[in-house]
Amino acid sequence: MASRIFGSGIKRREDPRLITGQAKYTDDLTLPGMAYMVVVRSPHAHARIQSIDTSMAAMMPGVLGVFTGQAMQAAGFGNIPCAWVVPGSNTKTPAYPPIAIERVRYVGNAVAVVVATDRYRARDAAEAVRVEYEPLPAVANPYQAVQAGAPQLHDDAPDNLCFHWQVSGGDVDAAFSSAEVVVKDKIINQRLIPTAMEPRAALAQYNSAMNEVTLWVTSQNPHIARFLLSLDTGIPEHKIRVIAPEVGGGFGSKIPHYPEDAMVIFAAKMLNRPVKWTETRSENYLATIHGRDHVQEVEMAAMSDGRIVGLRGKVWANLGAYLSTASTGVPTILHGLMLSGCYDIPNIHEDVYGTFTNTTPVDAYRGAGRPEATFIVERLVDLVAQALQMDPAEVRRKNFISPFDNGHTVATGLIYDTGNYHGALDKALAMADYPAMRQRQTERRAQGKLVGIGFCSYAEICGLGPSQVAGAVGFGGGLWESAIVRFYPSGKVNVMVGVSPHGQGEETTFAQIVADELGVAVDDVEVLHGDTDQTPMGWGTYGSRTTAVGSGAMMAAIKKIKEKAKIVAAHLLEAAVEDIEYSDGKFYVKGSPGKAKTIQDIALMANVAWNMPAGVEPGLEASAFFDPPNFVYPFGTHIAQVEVDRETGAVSLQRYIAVDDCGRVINPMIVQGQIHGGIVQGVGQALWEEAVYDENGQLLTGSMMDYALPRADTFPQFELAMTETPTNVNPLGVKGIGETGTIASTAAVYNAVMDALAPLGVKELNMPLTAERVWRAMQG
Amino acid sequence: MKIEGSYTFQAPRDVVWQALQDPDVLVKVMPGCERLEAIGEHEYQGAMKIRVGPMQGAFDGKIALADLTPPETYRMKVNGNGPLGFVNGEGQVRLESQDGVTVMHYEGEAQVGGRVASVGQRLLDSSARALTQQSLDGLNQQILARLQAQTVHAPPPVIEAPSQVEFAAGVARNLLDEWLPADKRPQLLTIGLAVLASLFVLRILDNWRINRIARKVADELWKKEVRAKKG
Repeated sequence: MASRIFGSGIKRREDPRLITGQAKYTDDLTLPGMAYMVVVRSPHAHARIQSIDTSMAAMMPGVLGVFTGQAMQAAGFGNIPCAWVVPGSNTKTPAYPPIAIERVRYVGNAVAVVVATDRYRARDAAEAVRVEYEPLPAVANPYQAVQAGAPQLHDDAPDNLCFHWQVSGGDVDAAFSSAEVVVKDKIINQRLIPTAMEPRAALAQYNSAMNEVTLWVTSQNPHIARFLLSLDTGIPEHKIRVIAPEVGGGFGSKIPHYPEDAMVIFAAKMLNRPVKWTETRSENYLATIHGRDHVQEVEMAAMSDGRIVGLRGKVWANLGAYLSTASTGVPTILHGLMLSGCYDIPNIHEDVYGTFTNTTPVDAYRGAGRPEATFIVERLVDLVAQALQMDPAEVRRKNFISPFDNGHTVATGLIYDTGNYHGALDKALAMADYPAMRQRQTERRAQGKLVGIGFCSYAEICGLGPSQVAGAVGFGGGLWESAIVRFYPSGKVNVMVGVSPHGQGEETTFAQIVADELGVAVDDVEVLHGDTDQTPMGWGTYGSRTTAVGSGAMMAAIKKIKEKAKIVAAHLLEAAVEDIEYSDGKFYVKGSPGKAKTIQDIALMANVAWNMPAGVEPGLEASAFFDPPNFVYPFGTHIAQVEVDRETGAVSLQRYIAVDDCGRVINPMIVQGQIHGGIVQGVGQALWEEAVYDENGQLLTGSMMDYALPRADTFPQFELAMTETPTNVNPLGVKGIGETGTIASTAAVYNAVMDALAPLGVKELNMPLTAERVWRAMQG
Repeated sequence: MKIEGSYTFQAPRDVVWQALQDPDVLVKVMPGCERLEAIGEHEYQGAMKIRVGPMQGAFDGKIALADLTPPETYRMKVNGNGPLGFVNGEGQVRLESQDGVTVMHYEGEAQVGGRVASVGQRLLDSSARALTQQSLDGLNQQILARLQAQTVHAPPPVIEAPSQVEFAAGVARNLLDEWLPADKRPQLLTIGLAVLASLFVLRILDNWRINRIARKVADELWKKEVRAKKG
């Protein structure tokens, strides 16, 4: 093809509306007669509800209704379903009532809702709801929760154990007994708060005559939301329309089906008027899922030449008080199966204990399970290098899986698609000018400075995924995608997709693909998503799957369009279909490209249907489904250089080099944007972010004044590069890039800080590496 | 949260003891206290407006006294609830007679929850300390006024609890005391002012410089456009 938009960094078409304030988010919507809902939340981490007195609140001006959990249950609304039950793990799924009944189990647990004519009145009235609690002892730590004598959350989950899941490959005990070096670490992969720029919101409009509901909601996956709502609202799936308008970031926190989604539908049904709820920021910190929160005891076995022979670990994964939609899959399938990283580790065993605690539910947060796995592997590889006094880059190189382009099976049973880990490492080392970097480090150290260099080489699993595997690992849905490509008479194109981007830029990248494949101008293509009534079924945007899986469906639809267009062209050109050739949007008889029909000519003819070949339907439109044969496995190497202030312990990030491989790149600017944001979020975990609970289960970091987010002024200019190893699991050869930065940067920066502190003999240090923590560790 | 400290009242022990058991006195001296009434023997119920950091809200509370050994010691249990969360505390108060004055020793453990904990915890300690300090100051004044009134046989003067603004000022004073030792304050203030002044000058200079650069760029662009039009 002549000129391709594939691979060019055209500007995101989403941005003009976003930066001029013309984008419409859920909270921007106002319907006639709309009322506002405010949720009354528990200040106790664990308590029995003795009484709820709504009489005062109900009498306040503008109040339309005050409802408790009992009322919601009585109206036929069920418990919030958990959509992932991992087989072979004896998973307990205790009841998760949308509004607590009898007992509250975390600070922020809903106990009642108030609906009023405006949000301020609703707020005032919510403060007038009197709830008497009998406080119960609470537990917040995932390890302590399963120890004897810990306060118990659910009667049907003894010892607060939700599941015990194991992953095993090879003979790990034999590997450890024959190893020449064994290194161990206890890692606290701390709890994080996703903090999407837009908090959650939901607006429900119920039509009692039709028993129909429309829900506008901050969702990454409206089709899943609709499916799950049909399970707990009692409204059948075909009577539910879920619309995700503009969504201001999610990072996984907008995957789950939340209680509030059901609550607004319930309130709209009870009051027969539209009801909207919008989360405040401090509410967001309590009521929207958190991420990570593992306690990990891990060890790695190696030979004296640096060859890794085994990895063994125990992980206590905090699930919070109730099971959020995908919560059990994150610390198991998305974590444990990735423990081989980008290495050939022949023997692996991990026990994962999923535990209930009196904390906000935990679910997928950017990277979801892979950052926790990558950190283990990359930390232990560094410890092996240290123990053997080898260069960390050398140990990595020694253990990399050799380049492969048609599948490689690792000990956990996964089959990686394609990879060239050496290539990414070599490129990163060259960019860093590694020998010079180490040389400067030695010089700076001689001057008394604490300079450190840290690596993270990763391979991650995304582009979720083959539906058959989804079923086999207990995910309660499919993971295929679908798309409709539709030409209008004027030659303009609508693409309707089941995925639901919310900041990732697929409106632009998908239009680029269509423009290339069908020979239309990129501005003649509009990509529609996020509305279950307007788009075909799909499983949503998460797990870096939108492009990897969604584009597959679109490519299949494009193929059908081309085939039909060819038949129409043959008819119009009075030639045999076999003699028609296609290039750059033009169909012509072999050998005479001068006399061609453009795709626009054919779109017009197919739409007016004045002169169609016999037996061919009017219209130029195709719908297709795509179920990938495998996941995709992006990879790369990141190198961080830090300096630690001797006086204060403050860490400054001086250089950051990232070489990533996501297969073929559709839009390099968007890819870089994803990497930038990902790196920043991962460094946030390494250096600043931590959701802190006190021993009574009170969240102490309930606002942006207490929870430290990364800021632009603490980062150097990132040095980015790509290598390109296409995947063979989708037509375009693309892998996901949404999460790689987060997966890699936490370990890279942590390893760099530990390298900086090595001359002081610092061995143990938990994230986040705040100045205070580092300073204390430096004091010994 | 641990609360402990001591306070010296300029009054004999039994007078202090009496004042401490009198809800009418206590309601007047606690900042934000709107109501406090006896609902049983050594049991009181009340309402209080509390401000912690960025938050302000009403609390309904119960106070129960136990193990009273007049005029020496008692235990106190406090349970407060409100839209901001809850406060549950238990503590011990001991009065010690010393040469005509009374030294009160108090210690206790308080548990706070809800928004007070999640948003206000950084300021909780200083708020609690300021609240205690101001309450005890008020109580001391009230006692002194009563003693004076008794000696001149006049009705006791009216003493108002500190307003929210005064309370906030008290919190700020406490924080300042923690951060800046009193003896170094003038020196630090001078340095601070000097730094602020120089920052201000720098900002003006910077603005001026940026304006110059911006004008230059605009000029260049304009020239380019003119050239393009001509060409």
